[in-house]
Amino acid sequence: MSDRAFGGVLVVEDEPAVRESVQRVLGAEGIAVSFARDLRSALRHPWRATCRAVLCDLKLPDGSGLDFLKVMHADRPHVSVVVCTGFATAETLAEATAAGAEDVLTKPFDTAELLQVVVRAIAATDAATPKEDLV
Amino acid sequence: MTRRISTQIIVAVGVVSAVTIAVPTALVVRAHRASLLAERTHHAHQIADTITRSTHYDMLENRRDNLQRQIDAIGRQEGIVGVRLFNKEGRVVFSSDPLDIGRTVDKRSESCVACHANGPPSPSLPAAQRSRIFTDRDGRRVLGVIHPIPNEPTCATACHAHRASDTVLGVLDVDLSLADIEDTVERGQVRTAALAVVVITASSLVLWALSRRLVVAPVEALAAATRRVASGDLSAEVPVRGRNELADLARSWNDMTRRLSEAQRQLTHADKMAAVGRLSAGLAHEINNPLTAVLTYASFWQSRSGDNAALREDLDVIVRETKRCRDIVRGLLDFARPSAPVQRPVALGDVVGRAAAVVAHPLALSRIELSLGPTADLPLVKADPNQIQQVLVNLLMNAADAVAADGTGRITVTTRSANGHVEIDVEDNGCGIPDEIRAHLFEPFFSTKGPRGTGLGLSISWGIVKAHGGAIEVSSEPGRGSRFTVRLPAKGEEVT
Repeated sequence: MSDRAFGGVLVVEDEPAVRESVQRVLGAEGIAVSFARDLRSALRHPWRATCRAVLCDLKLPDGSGLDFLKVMHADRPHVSVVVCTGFATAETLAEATAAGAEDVLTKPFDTAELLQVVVRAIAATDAATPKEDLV
Repeated sequence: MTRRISTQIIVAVGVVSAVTIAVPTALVVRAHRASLLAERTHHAHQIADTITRSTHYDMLENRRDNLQRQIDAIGRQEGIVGVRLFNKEGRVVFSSDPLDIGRTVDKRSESCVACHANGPPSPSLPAAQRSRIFTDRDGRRVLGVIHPIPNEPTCATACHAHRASDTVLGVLDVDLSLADIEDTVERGQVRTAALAVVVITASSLVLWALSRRLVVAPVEALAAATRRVASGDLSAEVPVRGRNELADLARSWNDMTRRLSEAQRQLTHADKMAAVGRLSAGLAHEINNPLTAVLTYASFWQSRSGDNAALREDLDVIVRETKRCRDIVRGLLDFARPSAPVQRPVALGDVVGRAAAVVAHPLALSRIELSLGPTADLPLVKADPNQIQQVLVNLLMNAADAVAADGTGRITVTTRSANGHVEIDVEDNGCGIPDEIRAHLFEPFFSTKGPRGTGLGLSISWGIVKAHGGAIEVSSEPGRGSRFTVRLPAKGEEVT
């Protein structure tokens, strides 16, 4: 379980109320969370190199969550990125999947949906991580 | 403006009838007058001839008193204005007017000019040229004929011998009154004119009434309807009377306004949909984030409420109602930005079957009978099967809500191919849709189901069918049932 304790979830979300509620739900489950409120700060966030999963809103004040998804997928392809959107059309889903998204979480979500998606994403990252990367 | 048509027709017809009556009448009157004159001229020559013959002996005998008496007697006859006898020098020798005797007539006067106009007189002037018409001192129209009295061998040997070399010894002038002929002709003209006025007036009145009824009234009705349409009232109908060209025009006009009104209704509906769509999309995006926070916190505390039953019940309500808000917002977004249909050739029969399978259970619970018509021989439709299925499920659930749940409820789905389209009818025997509701059926948030519906089902269905290039139509009879028809363009390939 030591590998599980390492690294948390990086949440890229501009809406404070959503950030706080995600913090409350994931924190209560013992999942470490750190936040970036826009694309620029997400790209410079120290957790980018260490996190085990990313929950990223599609609509950010300074760009699209898909851009961050693409950067993450290029840098750390084994880390699961969950795209979060207020409106999932077939096109959005297809585009996100093509860019390498692990899952799509549609707002508004409840506790169970959030936990299910995040836990599944962490598990997927762990399964994809090469053994030598683990401490 | 409208008066002018009938006025123009009446004036035109009046002028035409006046000309058609006047020209032949004038010709007839002229011919009549000419024949009367010819007869009168002939009569005058006869009188002159009779005078010459009957006075011949008196002349030979030089019985001047006798001659004068005869001329007086003849001159007193009715219709004869005067009888004169000139000698070669133009002196009146005998006359029915005593004052005239002894006067010399100028050879250029009207009675002489026919013979004496150009030099020496011609001894054998034709009878036609020996008559003239003039107005006498009393203003009467008079026909005068002159009758030359030729020299004869007996004259030269008579007691008061004329020279044998003379050709003409004198001229007899008989003047007859033309007053009766003028009167007859004038009376005829007046009678004809009066008749013409009566005929033209009567025919104008008939024409006026006819043109009012056949032309002016229908044109006025059209003009009135045009004004109503111009002022925005597209419901203006023109009454169609008869089967003439104007009735055809009225029918085409009514048809045109009906189509126009339908086109305008559809445009207005599309505009309204687009505006509501834009508004909804913005609203939905703004509401999603606060809803996320509410739902997350509420569901978080719901699972941690432990033994506090009251708190748990309250949180249950918050979670349930927030999820309802979520459904409404999703419906709004589906309506505002429907996903582009992923179209492929589809056999609509399969889609109908799948939609029927989805609703089979809830329909069976309400004891509603669902029957599907045959779907073979339908052409393929290029469509997104999931979206069309969504539309059909929507219509079927609406039909289920409209029929009674006591075992009498019936829903029928029939399909047919018509004019390059495939049509699907979803028909029920439920409560029907009143007209005032039908006008708003496809508007977002219009619902008759209260808290059970979002009011988005039909507007989303409308958007989907429109994105497929099709249409949804409704016909309904309140109390008897409703029929929704989905029309999709066919792709021309038969299902084999």
